[in-house]
Amino acid sequence: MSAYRINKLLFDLQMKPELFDEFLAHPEAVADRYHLTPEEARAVIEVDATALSRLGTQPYLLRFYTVRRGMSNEELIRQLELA
Amino acid sequence: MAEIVAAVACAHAPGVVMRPEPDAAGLKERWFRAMDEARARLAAARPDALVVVCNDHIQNFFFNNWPTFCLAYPEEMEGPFERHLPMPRYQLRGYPEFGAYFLEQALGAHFDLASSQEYEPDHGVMIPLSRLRPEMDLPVTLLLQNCVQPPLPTPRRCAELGRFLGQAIRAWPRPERFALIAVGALSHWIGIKRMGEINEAWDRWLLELICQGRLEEIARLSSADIEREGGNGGQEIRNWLTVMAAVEGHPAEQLAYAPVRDWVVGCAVAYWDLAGARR
Repeated sequence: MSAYRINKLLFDLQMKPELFDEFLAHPEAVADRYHLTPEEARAVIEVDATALSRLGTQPYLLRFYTVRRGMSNEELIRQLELA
Repeated sequence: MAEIVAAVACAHAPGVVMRPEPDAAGLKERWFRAMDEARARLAAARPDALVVVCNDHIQNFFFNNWPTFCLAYPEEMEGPFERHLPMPRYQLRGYPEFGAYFLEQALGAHFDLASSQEYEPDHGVMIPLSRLRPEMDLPVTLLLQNCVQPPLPTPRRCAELGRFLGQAIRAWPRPERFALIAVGALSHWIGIKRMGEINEAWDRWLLELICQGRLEEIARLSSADIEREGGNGGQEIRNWLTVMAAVEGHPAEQLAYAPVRDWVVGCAVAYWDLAGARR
């Protein structure tokens, strides 16, 4: 369950609109609160789907997160090919 | 005693509302028209209640408490969960009396379901319902199966649960007409390499088995078989299988198959006419 913390953050971002807003404003602080490593935090903050996939992020949570962050299917597919 | 008068199985991709614009091959239109046909047939079957066999997309439940099978039977529901989807939010009535009955029967028959009396259906339920019963006037019970977070229940277990669902509905003492809805696409890869692929040959093979009522050949697939041919998203065929088992012995009619690239899923619509209901 190495990606549990990333998955938990992505799940909570779906569930809690106020957390999503806070994350957009202060991403590092939120990532800290979820005890993400610097590598994990960077991948989430930069919406790096290649890195998130390599880190073992749950695929559905990854997909929904990228949709919320405005990434197209085409771009997600491109980034996943590199994973 | 109650009866099952109809069943529908269909895809539920978010692309249906996010990218509805026509495609060159006319595949979206084919799927939309088939859903219109299913809606008309469902209305003609005059159901009193719906049971939707579906899966949570990690939008109500998380891995701190993740059910393999769960019966959701709130008094009321509102959805879709995803407020960013360009579709209306709907109010739904639940059917808590039927849910409590089914839960007790299921546990008595050794199907140890989890249960939920507060649930917010996601796109997976609301996109099909918005097309099949936009009036949202029927009480809805949700039977959730884990199709997204391995390890997954075996297809065989889903078929057994479906067979039991059919028996339990037919033994429900009110003289009501039930319709079943299975939601999920055929082959698709979500959030992993190969996303965007659709395995048309596998989809067509499955549809043939479904329409001919050849349940055993699907029930004996393993999760690995499904993942290889149909992707992680193809694991949702469990929902189709469960409904197939609930109406075992009845063939289905394929209303459409549409491998829609923009929606990244193999989409189909199948209909089981169990009451001879026609327009």
